[in-house]
Amino acid sequence: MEHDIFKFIPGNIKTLLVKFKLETEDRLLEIRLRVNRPVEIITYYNNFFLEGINSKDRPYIVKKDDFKRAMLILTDNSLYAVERQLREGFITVEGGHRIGFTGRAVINDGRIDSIQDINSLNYRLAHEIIGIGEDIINKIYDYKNNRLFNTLLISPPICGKTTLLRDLVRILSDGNSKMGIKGHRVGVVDERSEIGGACRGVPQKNIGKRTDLLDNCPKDEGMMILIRSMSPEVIAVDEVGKMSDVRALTEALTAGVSILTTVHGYNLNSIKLRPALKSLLDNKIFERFIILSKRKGVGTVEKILNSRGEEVG
Amino acid sequence: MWLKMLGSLMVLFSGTALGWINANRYNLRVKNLRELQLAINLFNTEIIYQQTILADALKKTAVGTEAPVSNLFTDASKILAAKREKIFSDIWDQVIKKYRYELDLKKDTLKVLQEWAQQIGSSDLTAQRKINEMTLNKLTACEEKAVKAAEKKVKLYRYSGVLMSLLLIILFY
Repeated sequence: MEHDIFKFIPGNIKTLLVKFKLETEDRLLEIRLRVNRPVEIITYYNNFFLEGINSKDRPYIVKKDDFKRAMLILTDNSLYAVERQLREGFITVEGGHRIGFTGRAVINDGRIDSIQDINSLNYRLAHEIIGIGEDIINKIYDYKNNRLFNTLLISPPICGKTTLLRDLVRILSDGNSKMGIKGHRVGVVDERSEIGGACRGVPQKNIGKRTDLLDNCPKDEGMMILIRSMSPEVIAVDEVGKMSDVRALTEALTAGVSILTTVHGYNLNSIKLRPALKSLLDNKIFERFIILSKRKGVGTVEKILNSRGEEVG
Repeated sequence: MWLKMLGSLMVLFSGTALGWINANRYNLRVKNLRELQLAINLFNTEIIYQQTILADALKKTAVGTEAPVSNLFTDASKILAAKREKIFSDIWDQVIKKYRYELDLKKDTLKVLQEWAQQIGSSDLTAQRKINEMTLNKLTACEEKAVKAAEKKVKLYRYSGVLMSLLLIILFY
């Protein structure tokens, strides 16, 4: 089946990708377009540049016009609708795929107002792997109190953090009688529409039957809304890092809500260097840490640690 | 004699009808201009308060307006949804061309609509609001002109239709 991200790729390049049968390639991770340079393809196993339409041709060189067309498709001719995302350097499209970009930053009052003259696009495919959380859920679930331990997933980019988070949300929401896990009310604040892959507010990914999704909403405000209005038992958010996120997390914890979240990093020590997370770590707020890597392929669970940093058996 | 009477009646009827048709164009132009302003207002609400994407905002605008103005928005929305790589102003020019005779708008109004399309979708919310407000002001000015023209010309065309046909009948006799 063709990846749904292909409908966001401009015509010329899409033709090439189809020619090389990449539209159905399961192991596709990223498609990178850089102006006046060839198309780079990154899969689970390797990376390479795309050849021209005929094998004798030189690699296809991405033109400025390809970018113009890509931006028209990505923004649906509606820049105003993705204003905030343009400031942050990425757009999330249907299916939860994230398209990152670089270009010329327009600065206003010392802050990035927008990114213009886009010169590089990175199509990152969102993957949904149902069941990957089942191997580890028993290590992060407090069976005694029927609750999720406050859990932090740590990994560098492209190691499957969001995919694992999504599946854990699904398991917690649906419950699993075989594993002795009851269904929980899960609130998801999906600032970048990557967890639920929502299209116009409706989740396209399986995030469970008892999950309330707050899509395209800043994490800090979203968590407060969920606590006030949806009485969640678990709150899941992706990529915490700002002080305001930490304040909202603390608020959630004091309201008795379990937290499931992710952060970029290589190990526990690397995230201790982040000032915003320091207070949470010092106060041993997180009861479980899941460390991911790509060592044996994307989504390798390296370790699961408890709040004292000891490996959980 | 009867034949002459019948011919005269036919001339009178056609002349009057021609006068009414021409006069009605002025009224229709005013109506279409008002409908266009309503459309831009609805469209503005959609994108400013809902941040609806362009194709959907055009579609919703079409629902709230009457033909032939609604046809512009319906067609533009359909083309845009089907051909996402196309630039909106090109699509808009295409639909304006299609409905030019039905809309019966003056060149200055068409220019206002083309300028609007060139800027829609390509900037942030604040700029979009300004563009819509500016377009509304320009359309109001076009409407005022059209109302004045209608006040002058509607009666003129209606009477001249009747009078010209009467004159023809007298000349034939």
